[in-house]
Amino acid sequence: MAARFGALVPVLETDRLILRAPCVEDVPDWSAIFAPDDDFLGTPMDAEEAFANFATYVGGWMLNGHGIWTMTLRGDGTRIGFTMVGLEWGDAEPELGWMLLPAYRGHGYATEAADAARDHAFSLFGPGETVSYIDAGNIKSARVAQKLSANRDYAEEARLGLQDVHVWRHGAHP
Amino acid sequence: MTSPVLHTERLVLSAPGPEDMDAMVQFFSEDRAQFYGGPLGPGPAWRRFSEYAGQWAFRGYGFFAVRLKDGGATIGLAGPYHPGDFPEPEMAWLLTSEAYEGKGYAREASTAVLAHLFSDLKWRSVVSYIDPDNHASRALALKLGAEPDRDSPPPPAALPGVQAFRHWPGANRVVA
Amino acid sequence: MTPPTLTTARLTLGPLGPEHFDTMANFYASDRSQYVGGPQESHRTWRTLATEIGHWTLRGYGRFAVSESATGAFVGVIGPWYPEGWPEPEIGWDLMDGFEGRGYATEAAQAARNWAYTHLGWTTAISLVAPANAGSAKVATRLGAHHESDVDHILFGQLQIWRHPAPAEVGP
Repeated sequence: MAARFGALVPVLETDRLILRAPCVEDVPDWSAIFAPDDDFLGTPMDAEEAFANFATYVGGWMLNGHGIWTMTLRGDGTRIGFTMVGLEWGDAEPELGWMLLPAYRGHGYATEAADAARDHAFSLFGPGETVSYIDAGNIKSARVAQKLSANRDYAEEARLGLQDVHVWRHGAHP
Repeated sequence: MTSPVLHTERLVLSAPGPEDMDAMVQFFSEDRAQFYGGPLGPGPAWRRFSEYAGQWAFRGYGFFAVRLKDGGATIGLAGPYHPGDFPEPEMAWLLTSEAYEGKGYAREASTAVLAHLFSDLKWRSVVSYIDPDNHASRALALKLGAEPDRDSPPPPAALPGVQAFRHWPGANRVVA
Repeated sequence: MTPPTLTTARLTLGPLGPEHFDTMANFYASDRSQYVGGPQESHRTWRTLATEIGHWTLRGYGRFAVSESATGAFVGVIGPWYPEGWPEPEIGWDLMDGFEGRGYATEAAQAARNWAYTHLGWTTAISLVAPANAGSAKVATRLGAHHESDVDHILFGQLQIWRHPAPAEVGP
């Protein structure tokens, strides 16, 4: 059953990466990204919370037709991170997200992967329907959003009443 | 290969991809698909759509997936269908759901494709095979300026009883 | 998705294209194709090839055209795929006429399975073998697979499901 679902997820490729279906073997690396003692700027989670969060994005494929890909290097399939078109509980719109294992940051992989995932989102929803929620202090992620040509949606930030989270919209809002 | 992308007032047309699959499987499951070899179960529908997608590598052209600019939904296919047993490419169109009928989408998409075939690919004409019972397709073929063509090469054996209509560059006025 | 190029000791795995049509038409015209829906006319083989190419577009992976690295000869269609209606994602191999008996199917299928395990994240794989196809059963055995169960296949009738060893059990 797991094998069949995994094989339904479309595999995307970029210059250096393959974005493939998530599998259970990916969970430890996902958890490592969200470990409380990492320098990742986001909400730290323990292993159980991280697993539940991962399962939400994985389940998105079945519930919504979109979800999370595992990022791997084309040469040897090394797992380096994740990118997703997600829809968590309470999200108003699909969210474009990216996260890398510490050893693989700083090489432009996030931008490269999120670019492919964003194009996939555009073909599902059209431009302007996908956002990224980025902590105000997360300069690196903000830079990725800028490189993806996303723009701050101040009206949406006000509507959601967010304090320290910025809303970046991908593509022009209709 | 990179396929061309065509834009109209309400639509984007590009080579078929995985995001179009759900709409196509749904289309083939309904009686509306009878003029396209359907209805088909999910397996045969998937393989049929995979064949459409693969034609681009064979011929350098094929069905465009038609998507709404507003929201991105896949609403149909339009383009030159040319499998191995067809004597020439066939300009064909379909809407994936009854909900998309009556809005001029098939005409808008087909007009854009015909303009592309004649202006960009320099085709001299293109045939459409219309089933006598498919009144909607016959009406659209005529609106697009096609004429019955009794001198066409015989239609493929896979399409018994169809009538050939031929589109010519002069007859197709691009509606902005 | 552009198929990657994989190489083994003697073979190159790459994208299927129109240049492979003639050889495939010959295969599908012969009795050797009886286990995969043949014999069939060449226009049906056109659709078969288009469907295999389209699989890469729709799934982002699929089966490869396998060629002899030394001569460039096209020897088979081999790789990981999962058309709608298949019981599970499959490593499938079809050898073109005249290239049996050289270990090509085993060599290419092993590389393809490796790629599926490392690059597609597959945690298991099957191969579908017609009961009368002794040659295919031998290949499956050499790959370390075992006959696990049977299935009534949507296209090819009664087939054996051979289960491959898991990623941790196979070498690089």
